Order: sequence, then structure tokens, then C-alpha cells
Amino acid sequence: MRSPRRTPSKARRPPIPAFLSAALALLTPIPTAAQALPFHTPTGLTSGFNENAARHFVSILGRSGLVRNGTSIDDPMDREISAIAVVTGAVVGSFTPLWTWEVVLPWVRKEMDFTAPGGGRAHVSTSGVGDAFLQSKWIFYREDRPGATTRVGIQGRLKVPLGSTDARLPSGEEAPRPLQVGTGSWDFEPTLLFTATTPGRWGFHGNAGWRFNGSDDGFEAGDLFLYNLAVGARLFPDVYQSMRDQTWVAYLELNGEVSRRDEVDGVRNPDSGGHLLFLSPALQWIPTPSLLFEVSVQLPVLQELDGTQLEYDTRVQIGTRYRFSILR
Amino acid sequence: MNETPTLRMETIMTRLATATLFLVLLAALPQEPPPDIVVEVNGLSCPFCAFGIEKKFVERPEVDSVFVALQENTVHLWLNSGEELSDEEVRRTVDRAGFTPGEIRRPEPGGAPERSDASER
Repeated sequence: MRSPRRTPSKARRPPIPAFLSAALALLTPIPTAAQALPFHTPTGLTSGFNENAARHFVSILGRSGLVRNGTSIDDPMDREISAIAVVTGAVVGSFTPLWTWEVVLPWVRKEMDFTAPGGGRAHVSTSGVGDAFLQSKWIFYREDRPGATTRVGIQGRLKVPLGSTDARLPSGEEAPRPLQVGTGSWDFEPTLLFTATTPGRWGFHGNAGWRFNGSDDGFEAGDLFLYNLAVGARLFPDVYQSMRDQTWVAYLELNGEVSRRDEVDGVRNPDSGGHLLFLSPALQWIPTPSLLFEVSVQLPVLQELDGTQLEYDTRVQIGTRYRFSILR
Repeated sequence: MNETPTLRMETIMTRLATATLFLVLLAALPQEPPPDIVVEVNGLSCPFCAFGIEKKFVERPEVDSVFVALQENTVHLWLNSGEELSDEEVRRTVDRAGFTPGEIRRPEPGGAPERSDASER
């Protein structure tokens, strides 16, 4: 029987009995850090040179309930917009161990229920491949210590308008922009990243970025200031006996965005823009060192929406990440 | 019923013999050899992150097996028979995994470990 702690020998070596491995490990109860990656907050951690990682998650989100300058008002159409996004992202390459690039591709389904002019309830939906993202992360400051690290970097993110913008309603009319699965615009988002993990069980991540939105067919979504803060705590194990111990990590994140107003043919839309802040608890389970499962809920704790807009509902996400290598 | 002194002595002797036999058998069990190289790695912060460094060393043809001691912030390497791995290669491998190499030790069975401190270079 081979110890599960060490990789299998390429040759045959006399194994150490498992109970002796466990006994020896118990003699070295030195706490160490354990932090994975927050659900929503980009971090200063990279996967290494020629190391790949993939991520899949499902996000369920929606908007409903009309507000005008912070006060709920009656929506004559009683609109409810919901969306489900199945997102796949992968670290597909690296220039150096601290400079990687990634691709993100979502599949999106959007639905809207509303009261039609005739009085009946109507339902419309669109679905398809959404806009893709190409992004690159470069860590320009790294201070590694035993069981801990501090890293600062930048990330550039380019949105590629792959998603369709010409979905139509059953009546033949073009579907409204919030229902389209694509935006039609090329957007760029530079972000400053920060990560610090401690030799204990804590990890801290933060970033701030600006999204410069492009325009499409006379419409330009308002530019965004995005900020995220995340605190993570390892729940289990208290002390690692092996790298292959199952790990549970809890995260609490603040995910904020401040957006300018949209423009239509050069005219600003007064019913757009504002400040949105989500409080996002998350739980991660790492059953093996190369596999991670996670779930998160995003609670809207601040919605300072300009003009008259639908409010944002609670969001739910569930996903997985795993590591692999294409090149050696 | 009370035991006689002779019976008590027999019981003690039997238990001593059993314990001795157990210790002899334990010592006769195959023991894992010490690692050929132990490298301190700074910046390891989770199993999901540390997986990369294990893979980087496993991929090397000189390396037979790897153990990442998260609690000690070290990576233990067992080399294939007759293979060598220089300190420079060890450091390069750690760096390619995205971490910072520290002290490199080469424990020798029955002897004092050789030390090579990356920070002195």
C-alpha cells in the first residue's frame, strides 16, 4: 500500500505504511495557509508557466420591480427579466509564470415576462452564445514568504462582440437591448489586482478597474468603474496533514460597480447608470488539489439607480474549476 | 482468586515478549528512503495553487516522485536511480510554477544534510 501523500513512484520503491505516514504527519502540526480563489473577485494569483486551469459556472440573475430615484413605483407592464448564463473560462497560455492569458465564453438565455397592451401576460426569450472575453494578467510585484504571498498585478480584458444583437420578438419587432444575448460593442477593461494571503487561514483580495464601453448601432452603454473586495477563511482542515486533504474555504465579497449613463445617438439616457453593490458570501470545496467546486449568492445591498429602472434581484452562482496542462 | 507470584511473573514476561516481537516486526517493515532533495518553496498558499508545483516536478524525467509538504512549505523530491538535478534546475522549476525557491537541502542517509541556500547566491 502506498502513502496517498506522495505522487506515485515512477519506479517501484518500498512503501511506507499509511499509519506511519499519518503518525509522522501528526507530529508536525504546523498551521499553514490555504486560500483558493474568490468567486467574483479577480486576484493576483496565477497558475504558473504552461499550466492551464478551466472554470465553468452557471449564473442565475434577474431584474424586477420598478424604482424611480430610489423609490418603488408601479410598473404598468410589471416586467420581470431573468437570465441564466453558462460561462466557460480557461487560462489557455502563459508568456511567463506571472503573465497568463485567458478566454471566457458564455452561453446566455434571457427571458422577459410582461403585461401586454391587451392585458394578457406575455413571455419572450432569447438564447445563444454571448460576448466573449480575451484577458491577460501580469503580476509585476510578488513577495513570497513561507505559506504566504503578496502580489500586485494588472489585468487587461477585451470584450469581443460574438453574441447576436438582432434577436426578434414573435411580433417581428427587434427585441429590446436588455434581451439581446450580445451587446455588439468592443469594450476594454484595465484592472489593478491585489492579493495577500497570510501564513494562517486568511486571504485578502481586491481590485479596481474601469470598463470603457464601445458603441454599436448608435447605442453606447455607460462606462463603468468596477471594484471588488474579498476576504477568505479556510474552514477545514485546521492543520494540513497532506496536500491532498480536502479543503473548505468560505469567502465574503463586496462586488461594486458605478456606471455612467447610456447614450443613444449621442443623447444620454436619464434612466440608466448608478451605483450597485453586492454582498456575496461563497463556499468552496477542494476535494483534490486539481479540482474545486464553489457556490455563491450575491445579495444587492446598495442600488442607487439613476432615473427610473428595474431593480436587481439576488443572484445565484454554482461552478467548478480544475487544472490541467496542454503543453509541457 | 489471587495469582501466585510465579504466575504474575509469567504474565509480565509474556507481555514483554509480545511487545519486543511487535517492535522487531515494526523495525523490519520496509521504510521509505529519505528524499534526495528538499526544497523550501515560498508563496504556497493552497492545494489548488500548489498542484502546479507538484506537476512541474513530476514532469521532469529525473524525478521519480514528489511530496508537497504544505505544512512545512517544502517540496520533497525522490530522483530516479543515477539521475541528478542541479540546484539551478530545482530553482528554475519552482520559478516556472510561479513561486519563489528558498533553501535547497540534499539529505544523505545517515549523514548531515548538505545545504544550499538560494538566498546566498
